[in-house]
Amino acid sequence: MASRVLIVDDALFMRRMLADILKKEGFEICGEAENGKEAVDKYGELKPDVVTMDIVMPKMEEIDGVAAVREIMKIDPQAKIVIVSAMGQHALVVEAIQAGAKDFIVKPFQPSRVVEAIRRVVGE
Amino acid sequence: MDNEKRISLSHLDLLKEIGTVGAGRAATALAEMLNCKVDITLPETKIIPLESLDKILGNPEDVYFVLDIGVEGEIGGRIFFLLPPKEAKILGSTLLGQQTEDIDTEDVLFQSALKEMVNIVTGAYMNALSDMSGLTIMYGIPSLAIDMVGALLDFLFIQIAQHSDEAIFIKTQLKVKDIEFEGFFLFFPDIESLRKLFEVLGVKG
Repeated sequence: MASRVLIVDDALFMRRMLADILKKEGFEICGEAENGKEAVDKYGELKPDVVTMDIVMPKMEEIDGVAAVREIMKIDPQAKIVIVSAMGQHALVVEAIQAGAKDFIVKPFQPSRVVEAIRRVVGE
Repeated sequence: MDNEKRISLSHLDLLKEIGTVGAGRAATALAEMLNCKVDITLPETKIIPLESLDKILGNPEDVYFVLDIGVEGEIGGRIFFLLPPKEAKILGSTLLGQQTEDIDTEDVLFQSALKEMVNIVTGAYMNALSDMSGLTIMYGIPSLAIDMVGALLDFLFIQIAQHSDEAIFIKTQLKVKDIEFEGFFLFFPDIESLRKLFEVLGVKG
C-alpha cells in the first residue's frame, strides 16, 4: 500500500509542487495544511505515515513549524516528520531535529532529495 | 546623527561582502528553482540620506510588484523585492511551467509562486549571512502588493525615519535567462542590528 503523506506549507505553490513530486513516485497525499495548528489537527485526524513540514508559516495559536513538530510528537512519539524549509541555519536545524524531525531539507531542493528522505523515514 | 551611529568605510566594505555572498547564494537558489541561468550584478551598497531614497528607486509613478519580508531574530530589518509586472510574469510563468502571456496576475497560484520564490531567495541570503556571522536570523512570511514606487517610499520613510536619518541600502540586480531584470532586491538592516553584526565580525569603525 502506498505511504500516506500530509503536506504542510503555507504556500499553495509549494504544496502543489511537493504533491506532484510525491504522487509521481507513488505516494498518496492524504491531506494538506497551511499552518502549524492545522497540521496538528490534521495529523490527529488523518494519521499519515509521514509529514513534510515547513518552518516559516503564519502562527496560529502560537504554533509555527517547529512547535507543530513538538505537538505532533506528543500525539504520536513515532511520528515521521521531514522539514522542508528555506531557512537552513544551523541553530534551526538543530532545534527541529531536537523537536523530533527525522530529516531537514533546505529549499530549493532537487525532487530526488525529497523522495529519498521520505522513502528513508518510512523505511521503504 | 550621532557619532555612535555613523558607518565607516570599513563597515561599508563588510556590507558589500555580505551583499556579494548573500546575493551569490540567492542567485544559485533562484537558478535551481527556475532551472535556468541566473546572473547577478555586484551588489551596490550605499548609505543614503532618507530624502534621497526616491532618486534611487526612479519614477514614483512606476508600478511594481512589491514583495516585503520582515527580518527578525538576532538581526532585524526589512527586505523588499521590486519587480515590474513584465518581469514578475516571466518569473511566475517559468516557475509554473506556463506561457508568460497566459499568466493572470490575480491568480492565487501565480501569487503564491512569486511569494515562495521570494521566501527561498531571502532564505538563501539570510542563511549566508548567518553562516558568516554565527547569528540566527529569522524572517517572516512575504506579503505581496502591486503598487507605485511612491507608496513604497512613504512606507520606507516612516519605517526607517524612526531610527535614523540615513538608510543602508543593499541593491542587487538580476539577469535571468540573459534578460536584464529591472527589479531590485533591497535590504534595509536596522542600525542596531548592524552594530551587532559589525561587532560579531570584528570590524571596528
